[in-house]
Amino acid sequence: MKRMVRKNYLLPAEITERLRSMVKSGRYATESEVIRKSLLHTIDLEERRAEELSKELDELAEETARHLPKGKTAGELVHEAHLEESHSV
Amino acid sequence: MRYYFDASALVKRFKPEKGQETVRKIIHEASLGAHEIHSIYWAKAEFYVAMRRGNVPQKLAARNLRALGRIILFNPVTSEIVDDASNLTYEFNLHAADAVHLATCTNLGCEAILTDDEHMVGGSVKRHLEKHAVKLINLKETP
Repeated sequence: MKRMVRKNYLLPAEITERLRSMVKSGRYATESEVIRKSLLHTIDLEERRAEELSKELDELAEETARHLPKGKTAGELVHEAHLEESHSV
Repeated sequence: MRYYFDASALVKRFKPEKGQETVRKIIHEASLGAHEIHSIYWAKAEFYVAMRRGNVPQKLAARNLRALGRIILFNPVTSEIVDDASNLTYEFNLHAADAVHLATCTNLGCEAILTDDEHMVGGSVKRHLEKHAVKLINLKETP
């Protein structure tokens, strides 16, 4: 496996401190491992959040579509709304 | 990529028809951090009117907007936007609401605008957008 190691990275003191203490706890072999696992965890969380939002929007769309008129497009509905604003409809 | 959604693009997310998949995909990618999506606060009122005209209960319309608000940035209406929009109403013979979307999109420096509104896809509007390096995505022509 190709590995890239950046030794001279700069991190804020409070993060360096936390990294050191996590390695000392014995749960991680190196500081790099803590960073790698944390990033993967964050990416997983973001992906899960995106999936949840898509699912929620799909469910709302399904419910909303039951009410919306089938013969009119989104553009036509908004256009009618514009006309209503100018009291034409 | 920085996108702009007008009110018709927002409504499209909830309407199973041509163009919905494009809107769905961009919103999903944006929630993964790949894009920014902007609109204007005023679009919320337009969205509500369109939902009311479609007999969608108010509570459901509100839930729809809350969900969209988790990923779409609804920018405030400023005097600068209204001034620019006022000029556009004459230049392109637009409804005030369409002109507000056009002005907001260019003022925010968006790279693409999504619309399902036939007034926004005319040749002169398209040229205006091209002048500002904005790609016009006509949802009637997308999956």
